Amino acid sequence: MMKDKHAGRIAANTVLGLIMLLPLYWTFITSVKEKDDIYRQPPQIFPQKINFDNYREILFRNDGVFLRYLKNSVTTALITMVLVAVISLLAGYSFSKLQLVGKRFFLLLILSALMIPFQTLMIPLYSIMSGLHLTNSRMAMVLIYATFQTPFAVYMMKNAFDMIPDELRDAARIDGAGEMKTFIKVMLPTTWTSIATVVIYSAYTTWNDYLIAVVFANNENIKTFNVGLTNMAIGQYGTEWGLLTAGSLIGLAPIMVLFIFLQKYFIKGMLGGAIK
Amino acid sequence: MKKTKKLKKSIIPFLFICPVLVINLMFFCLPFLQSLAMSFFEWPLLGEKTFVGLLNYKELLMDNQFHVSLLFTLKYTVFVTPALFVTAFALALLIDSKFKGVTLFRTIYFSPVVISMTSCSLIWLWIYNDLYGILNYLLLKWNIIDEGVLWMGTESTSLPAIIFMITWKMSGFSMLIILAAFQSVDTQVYESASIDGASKMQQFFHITLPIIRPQVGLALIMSVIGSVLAFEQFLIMTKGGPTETTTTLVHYIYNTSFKYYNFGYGSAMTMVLLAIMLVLSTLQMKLLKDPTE
Repeated sequence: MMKDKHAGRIAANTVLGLIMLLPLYWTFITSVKEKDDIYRQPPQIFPQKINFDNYREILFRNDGVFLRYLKNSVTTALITMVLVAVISLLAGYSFSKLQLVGKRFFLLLILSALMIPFQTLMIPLYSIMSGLHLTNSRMAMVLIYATFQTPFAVYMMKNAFDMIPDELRDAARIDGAGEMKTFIKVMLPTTWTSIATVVIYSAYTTWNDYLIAVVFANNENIKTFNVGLTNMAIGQYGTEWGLLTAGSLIGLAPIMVLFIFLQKYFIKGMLGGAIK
Repeated sequence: MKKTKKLKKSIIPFLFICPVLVINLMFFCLPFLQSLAMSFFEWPLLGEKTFVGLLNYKELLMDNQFHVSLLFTLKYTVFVTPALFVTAFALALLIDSKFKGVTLFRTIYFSPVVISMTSCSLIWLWIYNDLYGILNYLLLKWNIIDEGVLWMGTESTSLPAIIFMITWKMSGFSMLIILAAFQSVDTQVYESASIDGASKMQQFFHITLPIIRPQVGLALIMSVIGSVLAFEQFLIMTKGGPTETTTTLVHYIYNTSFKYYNFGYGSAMTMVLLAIMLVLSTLQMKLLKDPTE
């Protein structure tokens, strides 16, 4: 009886699951086909010949611009991750555990940024960055990513520190540890899952971004993979489907691998306050 | 002596929040205030900025493309939200149970959410390709259509096609919110309802739905916010065309500001977007717990 009840459910899920995966399968199959086979009619659902020429070509074409874009994406994401983690750790700790004067006011100020997306501030931000001579710089990108990521990250870290009983901190104090030492020896080890959530949230938000990067990084030396690929798609190579499918898979692969292994943190970071 | 110690004690907590405060003031508060001012100016990238009063707003009223973009964005939102929600709700019902493989299915349904909009748009643009796309091939083979459809050719075909893609990409997100809501309902409530003779159907409509209403609202608001901000999928898949009929509000603001560098006019349009966002965010915050507590 029990088994019958689940059989229908499993069947329905299997069918839907396969349908969900079909677009990714089709993209992968296209990306490993030879040029002639991509445009062959009827299309080969199971390709006869497989090669990775499209991957090689997109990464190494024009002296490897896409390889450079990929490196730029990695560098920008890494710098942003570290910056956001450090900033939110410090602030979260202060908001939760220290006697901060005007705590509620500062917290409201920082969390109010959760309500207003980058899209509504991109024009004045561009003008401010241009006043600071920072347009087309990695610095501008990282600062703006940090601005729009830290509100959630601070909120996350504050909650994490709130879970730690004050007695633990007081015990460290009695043992003669200073503020910094208590922070490093007691607080960091007990909040590492939240730190991981913040780091992963920062990583995929930065990696997947297109708009901030296209507004603030049009220089070849800092251009990110998403911007490079989009330019290619809407430009004169918009019909090179072998390259475009290979490119989109290269772009999604790192984040997909992270997601498969660190799913818990992804979900916690994405849904944030929506679920407890 | 005692006073300096006390001062030192209140300075350290402040130093800890200094980094976040500085970037918040510089790159959030300052641009926010500046954006209010910019909409009253003729503000080119280089050269003199001239105060023009309400001129940009007057222009908004006359600008046909602005009306087209605003209406198109609303139309997209009105159609994509129920599509996403119904799919998400169905998926949540399908995996709200303990059976073998449930985690695998949850992972599969959620995985498109983590893919960037850029990759996602390219994947589907290839599926929708008029000459070599797999969709046209299958529809022709099954005799559903007589000749290949130019999916991105007109708004009446590109809008449903993009809505379908977004449903594939984003329903896993709402699914998880709804699933968490289902699972937050105390099982004892169901037990006592069963004892009272309530059927599964009655339990669902009279117990589950009323309890999970706030989370359902939250899932809806979050997808509405995402839809109002839509940009990349249209930039890549339709390039806003044909003749700017599928240019979303953010896309038009982007073009005005960063293609033609007309910052003042772009800011006036942004004020409309900001007003919409503030209404939506206020609703969202009401549904979330007070984050300062």
